Amino acid sequence: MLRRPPPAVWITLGVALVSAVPWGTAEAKPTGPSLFCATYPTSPACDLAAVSCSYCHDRTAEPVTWNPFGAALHSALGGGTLSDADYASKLPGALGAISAEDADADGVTNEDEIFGGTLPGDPASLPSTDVCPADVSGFDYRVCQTDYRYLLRKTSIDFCGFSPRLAELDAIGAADDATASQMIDATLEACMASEYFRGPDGVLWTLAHRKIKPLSSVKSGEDAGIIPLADYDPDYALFVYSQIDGADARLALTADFFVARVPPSGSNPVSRYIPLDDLDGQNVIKARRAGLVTSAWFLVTNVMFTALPRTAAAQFYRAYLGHDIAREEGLHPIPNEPKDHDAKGVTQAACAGCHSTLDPLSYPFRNYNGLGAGGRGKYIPDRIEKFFATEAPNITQIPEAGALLGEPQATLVDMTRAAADSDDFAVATVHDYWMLTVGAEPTAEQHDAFAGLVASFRANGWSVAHMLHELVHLEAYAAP
Amino acid sequence: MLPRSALSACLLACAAATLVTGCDDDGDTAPLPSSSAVPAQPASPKARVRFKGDRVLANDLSRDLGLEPTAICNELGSHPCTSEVHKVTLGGVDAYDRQIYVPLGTTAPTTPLAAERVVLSACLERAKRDFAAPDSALLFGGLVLDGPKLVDVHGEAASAAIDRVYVALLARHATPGEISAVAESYASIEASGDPTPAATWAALSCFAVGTSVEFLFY
Repeated sequence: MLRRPPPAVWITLGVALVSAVPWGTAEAKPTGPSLFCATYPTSPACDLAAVSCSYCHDRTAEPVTWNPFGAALHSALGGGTLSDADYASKLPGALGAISAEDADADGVTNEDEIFGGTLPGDPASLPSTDVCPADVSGFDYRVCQTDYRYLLRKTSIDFCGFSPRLAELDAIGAADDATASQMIDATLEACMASEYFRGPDGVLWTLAHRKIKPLSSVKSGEDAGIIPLADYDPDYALFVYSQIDGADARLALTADFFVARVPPSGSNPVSRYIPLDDLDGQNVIKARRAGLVTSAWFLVTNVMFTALPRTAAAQFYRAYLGHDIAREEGLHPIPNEPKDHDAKGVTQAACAGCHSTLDPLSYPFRNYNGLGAGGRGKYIPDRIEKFFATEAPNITQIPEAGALLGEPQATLVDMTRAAADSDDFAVATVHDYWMLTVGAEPTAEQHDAFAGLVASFRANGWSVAHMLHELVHLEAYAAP
Repeated sequence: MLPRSALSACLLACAAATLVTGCDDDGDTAPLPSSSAVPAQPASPKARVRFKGDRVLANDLSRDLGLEPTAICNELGSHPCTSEVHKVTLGGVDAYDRQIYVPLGTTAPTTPLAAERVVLSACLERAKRDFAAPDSALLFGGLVLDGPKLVDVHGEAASAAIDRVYVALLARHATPGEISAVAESYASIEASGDPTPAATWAALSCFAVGTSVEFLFY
């Protein structure tokens, strides 16, 4: 049985790494992905984001190990420890030297795998050998082609939450393709207006869970827990608001307003979402608001009592840009970082590889309070100076300016705006819905369709609704 | 809890379901019996099939069997199977209390048991209501009975009932082969000594179709 590339490299996106090829020791070589992509800019592994650690490595922590492709590359580079400069100068040549080889012995050369979108270090990752029937007439389903009865069933189940009736299937089965296509769009539109899609615990709420990370025991407001600290209902409301009715999905990171849900009532059978300038329990001033990452819930649960909110930064990066720093994803090291202002020891070699990205990502959160003195979920100028000055000798030197994706950012508002405008956010958003609907990572053969969806999402106002109308007509979704 | 006779009959019904849905042990599609009069489908190399999961399973059973959501399945009579007890097992999440934010990557070892539990409960309820009020029955009305027994399981009324089950759950008509396979399971139920073989057969006919790949996956 052939296996598609696991989390397809081009979609693990952003997964720049600690080291594409660390030499001998765990010394980070974060330039590896960019050097690889400079050599192969049209590789599917590079055109949406940087390649992942797993492209070359089985393990990046000590003891470092390589997959067959990484091992071949290591050998082509001489097998020893290289300076950063030597590594940079020699890597392109080493890649070229092994391009015609078949490192993982799967019958496909490294170069063909790099350009074909499969993994040159994984023998189970191979180009598709799907064989579709040439003639599907006489069968119930148009195997490998858009089949509108199959598509109606999927659209109805995924977005409305129930299967279509026989009469509906008969109707779409009897329609010509153009009419059937319109029927699919109408079904999708109706489903996206349903409570199943936009209501509590609906499709969108469920998608938001790993971003919001609710916890009933510390919830405040309606259905408050035993230790009510903050309410996450407004977070769900803002997220849903940013995903429906053609809204700009970037509002999830840029909104300077709040959203309240109006539950269904007799005249309105579906939840409605109302933007508000102020909301009880939300304490960040308008000029310092940045959508879901400055909500009371986000700050209380992620900043908590910390001076430098690394957890908040990491969760923002993971939830909205798809980069999990704990997995060495999305590393864009900033020169001369980390500074270790709070004396946590992060300048040690084993820590610096990630913290040279994470700490600058955390600085813009320095004035956002979670719990403790100063009040919950507030922006407090000089927060460190007022409440944490004695924690470490240099702690007040934590700057508010930081960096995202290697670029400087003056404030959190600037940083979340840059994040929302980034390819990484577009890819992460489309990826969320791809996984929700297709149910598996894009394959090498689906790469172009996925990339096209991302481009269209950006070009059409970052509208999730628009993007979904395109997604359901893709071969990846519509063909049985 | 099903009586022993019903359980043994259940196995027969399951076998019938496997026959009519044409799946082998590996879940691969096998040709349908020739009596089905349906051309064999080519196996799709895409293999794009997904489990319905907790919410859709509950919604479909509720709509298809005309049951209130609260009547589908309750453990100990009070704990909803799909939205509480077996929620995560059936592919749901439990974000607020247990911090399970995304569904399991694959179905769990107990997912088939939970799915069968839910479908069986719903089917028993449907059959119970239909036999209690045959004039307003949704699926199993019009059956010719002799006390608790079916008079002619291969007759028009029983065949129509089987077809209604297929239309309700699978949104398509039953093939002749499928009608025959489901009808034939009645004999073993009656032979098992079940005190209400017609009602048990009705419930298990529903169960057989409702636990087919075609119903549980999409």
